[in-house]
Amino acid sequence: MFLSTGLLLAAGTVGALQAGDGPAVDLPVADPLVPDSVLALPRGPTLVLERAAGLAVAGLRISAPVEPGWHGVARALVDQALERTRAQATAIGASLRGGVEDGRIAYQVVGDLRDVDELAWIARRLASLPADEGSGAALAREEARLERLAETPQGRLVLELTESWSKDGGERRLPVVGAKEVRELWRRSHARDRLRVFVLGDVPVPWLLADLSRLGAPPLEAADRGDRSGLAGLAASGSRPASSPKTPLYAWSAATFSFGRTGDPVATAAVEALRAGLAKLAVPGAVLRLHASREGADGLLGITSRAWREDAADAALAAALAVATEEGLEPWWRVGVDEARRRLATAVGTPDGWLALADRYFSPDSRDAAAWPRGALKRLDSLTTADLAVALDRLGKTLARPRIDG
Amino acid sequence: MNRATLAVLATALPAAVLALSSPVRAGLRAEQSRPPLLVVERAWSAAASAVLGLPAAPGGSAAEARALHIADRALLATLREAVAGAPARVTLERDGSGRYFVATTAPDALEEVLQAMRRVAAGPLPSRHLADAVEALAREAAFRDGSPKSGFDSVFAASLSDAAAVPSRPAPGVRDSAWVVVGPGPRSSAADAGADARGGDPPQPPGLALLRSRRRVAPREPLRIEVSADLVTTWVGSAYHFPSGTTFVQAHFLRLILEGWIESLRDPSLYEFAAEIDSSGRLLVRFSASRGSAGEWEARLDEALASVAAVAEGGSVEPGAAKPGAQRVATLMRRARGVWSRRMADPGACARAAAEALLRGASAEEAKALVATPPVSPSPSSVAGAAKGLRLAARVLYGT
Repeated sequence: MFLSTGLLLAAGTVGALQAGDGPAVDLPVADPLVPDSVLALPRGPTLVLERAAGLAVAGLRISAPVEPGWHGVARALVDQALERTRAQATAIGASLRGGVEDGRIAYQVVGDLRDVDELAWIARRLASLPADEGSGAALAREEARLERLAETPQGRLVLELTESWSKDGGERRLPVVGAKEVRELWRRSHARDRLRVFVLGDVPVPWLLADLSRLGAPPLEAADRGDRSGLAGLAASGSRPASSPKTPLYAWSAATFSFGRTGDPVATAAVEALRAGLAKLAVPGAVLRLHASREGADGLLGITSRAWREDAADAALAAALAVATEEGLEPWWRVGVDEARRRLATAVGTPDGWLALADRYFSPDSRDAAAWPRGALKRLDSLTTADLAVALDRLGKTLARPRIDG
Repeated sequence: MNRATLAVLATALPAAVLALSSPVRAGLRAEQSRPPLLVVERAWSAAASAVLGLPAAPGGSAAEARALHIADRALLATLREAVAGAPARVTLERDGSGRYFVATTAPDALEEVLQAMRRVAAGPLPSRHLADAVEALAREAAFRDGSPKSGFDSVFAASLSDAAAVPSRPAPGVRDSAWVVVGPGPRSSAADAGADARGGDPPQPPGLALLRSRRRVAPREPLRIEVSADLVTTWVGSAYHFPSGTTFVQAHFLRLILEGWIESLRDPSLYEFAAEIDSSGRLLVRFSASRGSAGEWEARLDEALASVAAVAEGGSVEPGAAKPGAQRVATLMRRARGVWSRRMADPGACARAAAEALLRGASAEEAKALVATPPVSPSPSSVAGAAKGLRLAARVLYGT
């Protein structure tokens, strides 16, 4: 017998789908899209806890703020952290991730709950002071990555989106990052009281306080806290000219803009609507591509247009930008909202996805109804075409036309 | 419509239509209009999944294989269309064990998604999705047909048929389809499950024998096929029979240990490595390597399996055991345990594993026990025992 299950599923269980087992007596189900608690430890990290009783894995995520202009240094810092922990994670079959996203440096490790002590050890090592040993390789990889991107028009657009190069007059320059900058970024961004620690799994709080409350660097002193001159001084410490050769075969045209902060439901739906609209746009003789960067707190988008002739590339880009208007996006708005809901609802289902989304929609208050993945999902459910105006207003204020053809 | 499309249409479409009516629909109708549904409750789950599992493509002609491919693509497109209004994503995973249509969604949309999937599976597929699937397959065929990889796949598939020695007809109890949902259950069971998950003895795996109800495989000389070709890459495929009584979990843990072992030796001369357990309960190992190093990787594969098997004779596999091979197996067992637990924490992968067990003939209780929390963990000695009883049935070297 296939029962009508709306009532019990509304209470959050699949038990009602089971035929012939009799009615289940359910206790109220806590919403897994809102963490159980948020604890701000004095002079320590903010702990976000989701007990997830019965989950056979545990996941730990540590994130730290990173200021604009420091993403290259942050990538080198993360690279080093992943290199020094990869072997330990592999040995216990744990997944290990790290990167710069939503304006934060983030690391996370997920593995068997029975290996929770090793997982905590890996988390502590991820957030520990980067040693000089091994920093050279990470810095060289970051330098090579930037140089490779500067070689091609689409790579140059990525450099624009990630604010990875500077313009000194007409000359574009790539930053030269050293071990000193990496350590200074760690000291400031990984100050213990600036860290967020997300714990997914059935881990007792006393264990957490013993194992995780001494993560990262000591809290910044009051005098140091407001002072950004150290970072600014270091940022100007070195740069080198970027080699950006012109491509001989094609003409390129590009635009960059933002619909709003990364993860903002309106901006996310607008991105998906634009993606759907561009996929159906016919531009004979030209190739359009949409790029997205989530490194910064603002989600940045770029469109590249490639054609044999410059006027054709410009015309195709103009056609693409016409999609990014109220008239152009309205037919795709519902598709965009549905796709954004689909992505959020399915991504949050894995431990890795839950940790990343809990960080993206973080609030200091676990009862904040507008925050957390649940708040974002509710907001997506309530979006109307009127909300599109907010995203388009932001686009109008941020639209730029960088030169990417060398 | 180009010539390649027409060729695919001519050879595959009639068979695709047949494939759509059997065994999927025939199986579903035979089990009345509402086939059994296995429900797996999770104390904590932020998403829910529904899976329709169908048997793996039987070894047959290229036209039959294409027909099944077209049928699967058309079914996938129809399923996606049917759940378009819900926050759900539907994917298709095909391997030697079966074909799995996996829908992942928000728990409160699960009922709607499941009903939509069942409606689609029981009804006719729109002809436009069939035509689209044919077009897509024709485009792919234009790139793939005649490639060395396709040549290897054909020869390896033929070698599996030649070396089969297992009945081609399904054994009694083996299903034509499997439906599984995984999602949040009552919180009341959460505390108990959580308490078990942190400590105590690892739970014993269910006794689902991989080759249950099948005839015993008569020992034969392994088939070895070498295909000479002027290529820079060599593809190697090996098929092994497990000893009778090997369980589903032991076989999968041996596969994970083997993957970990080879991964630890990886260098740039090894391009791809994959291992799977097919629907006949065989371990299939495929890899590609640079032409000069394929022999070396073949030897490493044999050595890895022999080393795991040797542990069964040596007794202890605890860390610190005297034999270096035993220590390595103990280390890789821990890695395998972590990989398996993470897989079971994903509702889609968990539902897929339960569907795979059902397709192999497991009872609902056995399939549930397989994906239970805390996750199953076979004893290292039982996994080593499975390795010891492995018997090479066929090996193909393509591009020697």
